[in-house]
Amino acid sequence: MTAARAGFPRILLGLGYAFLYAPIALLVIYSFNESRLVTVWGGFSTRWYGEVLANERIADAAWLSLSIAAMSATVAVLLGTPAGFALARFGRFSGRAVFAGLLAAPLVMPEVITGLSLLLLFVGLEESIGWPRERGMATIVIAHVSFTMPYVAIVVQARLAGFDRNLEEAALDLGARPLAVLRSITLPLTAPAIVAGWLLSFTLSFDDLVIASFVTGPGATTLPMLIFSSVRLGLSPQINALATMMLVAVSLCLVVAAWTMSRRKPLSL
Amino acid sequence: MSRAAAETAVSDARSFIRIEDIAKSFSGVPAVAGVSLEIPRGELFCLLGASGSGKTTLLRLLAGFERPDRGTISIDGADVTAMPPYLRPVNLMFQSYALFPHLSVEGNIAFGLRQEKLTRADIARRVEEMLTLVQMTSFARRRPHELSGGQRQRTALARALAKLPKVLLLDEPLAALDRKLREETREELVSIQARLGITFIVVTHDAEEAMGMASRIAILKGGKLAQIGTPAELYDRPRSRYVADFLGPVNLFECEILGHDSGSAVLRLVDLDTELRVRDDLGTARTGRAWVAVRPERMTQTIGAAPVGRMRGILRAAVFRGESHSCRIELPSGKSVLFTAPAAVAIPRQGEPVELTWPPGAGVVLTE
Repeated sequence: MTAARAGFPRILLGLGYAFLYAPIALLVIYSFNESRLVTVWGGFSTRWYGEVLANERIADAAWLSLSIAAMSATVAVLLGTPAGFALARFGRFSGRAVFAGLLAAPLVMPEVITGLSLLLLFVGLEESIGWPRERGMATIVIAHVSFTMPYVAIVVQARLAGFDRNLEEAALDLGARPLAVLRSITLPLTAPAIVAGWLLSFTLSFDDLVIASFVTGPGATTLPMLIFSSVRLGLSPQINALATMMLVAVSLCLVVAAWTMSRRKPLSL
Repeated sequence: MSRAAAETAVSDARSFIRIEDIAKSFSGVPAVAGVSLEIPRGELFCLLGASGSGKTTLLRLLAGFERPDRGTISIDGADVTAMPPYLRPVNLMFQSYALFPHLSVEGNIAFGLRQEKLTRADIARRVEEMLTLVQMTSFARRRPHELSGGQRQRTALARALAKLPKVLLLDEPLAALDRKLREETREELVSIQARLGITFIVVTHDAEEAMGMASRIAILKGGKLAQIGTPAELYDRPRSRYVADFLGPVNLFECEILGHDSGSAVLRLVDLDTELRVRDDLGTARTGRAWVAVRPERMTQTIGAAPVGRMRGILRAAVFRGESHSCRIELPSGKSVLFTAPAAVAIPRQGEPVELTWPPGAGVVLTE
């Protein structure tokens, strides 16, 4: 009786998980499929991984995606960290609500709109000041910064909210000038949030398809764009292997980000 | 420094730290409302007050975290009123300790020294001295979250002392410790202070703690100085009911001032309905209300004729405290009177009558 009662929610939970993760599991399993036909199991093999690594188009796209992700994450950190400080530290400055709202807006903005508006911006800029002459890597980086920066700001703000201000006063009291306090106390203690923000931005940029498609030009094909276009020509086991590799890379990033953020024990000392 | 200023600094040992009419409000609410203090070099000085008395604000003004609205602070002859905290010859031990979580015990102690241009060897030597001073040598490599409360407290003390400041400020240094450790640490603080000769200013809300360690105490109330003096002066000769009550249990007998003649004042004790003649140090010829304050331990049970203020009441409560009994009697007027009887003395049972009095000189007449 009890077992049956306990069993029912378990079944529901199992179905829920299956709904979320079975497709992904299937993708991973079929990436090891020997057969050229995606839907027919032909035995275990890692040959598609070899082919992916040997494919130059994929390598170029992967390199472009990684570069864009690294650059946009770095810029997002440089802009988002000060924004997080402003939100956490400057008290109720005038325009704070507007600032916080505008900062968070890109988080909920439909990607199609973000992409379209950025495209209009770049076209308009090209017509009025002649830049960007050609859309590609630079425009994608700018677009990605605009929607990843809020994540950095929010993560940094959350970390600073739990920050004991006495630590900074203690450093001042011990003779450290404000800049030295920032360097030797504030930044080291905020570093986990900054690292986590960078990794989050990197991941978001790395797997973005919609916004990149809007603002890219003829020369620049990112990995998600490559996958999407080749899937339109038919499913291929190579793409399964590539997608599995991306999955692993992105999961690793997220795990590391979560882990750096969870190491907050010293702060709650 | 000009010659004149240098001379003031040397000659005026009584005012090593001079606080003059300092005031600070936060959004219109005064936290410190005009305090003047002089603290001699090498003293262990306590700022005592209830929460909201302004003691922490005064401490933060001394450390340089707050700028005063008016008034000046000078230390060792130099005006530090406008000086930022990182230039003041003052260090603060925070109530929360504020140890840097990403640095070891050693790293915490060395932090202040690294801000000066000292050689590595000098820093290492000073850190070693400090670790020895607070008996933390074997924990030098630990991180703050790996330490017990007492060890954190000692690390914080070592860090604040490492630069050998002219003044060490301590914000509730014992508040976070448990009772037994508090006693030990208090003694340790006093002995370290005596050994180093650094002027200590301790902020506390605990009167017993302040009396147990301070050479002098300033009692703050509502942002103003209520009274300043040695622990014994404040305990035995309070100038107001607030101070008398703050430093420990006290009986306050309301009285009317009947008159003054040839250097003495005549009071009538309302609850006892007797008259009392005291030395007239009430100031100008005041009339009206006054209070006689008598500590419970100065009250005695009478046998035979009582010299002053004899009273008769019913014993209502008696608590055994080991070395003594704390008792409460109720007078016919309804007023409760506390007295402490030595444990060796037999006390009456509850509900039985008791006669109490106090010896001449045990009572203090207060007018505020």
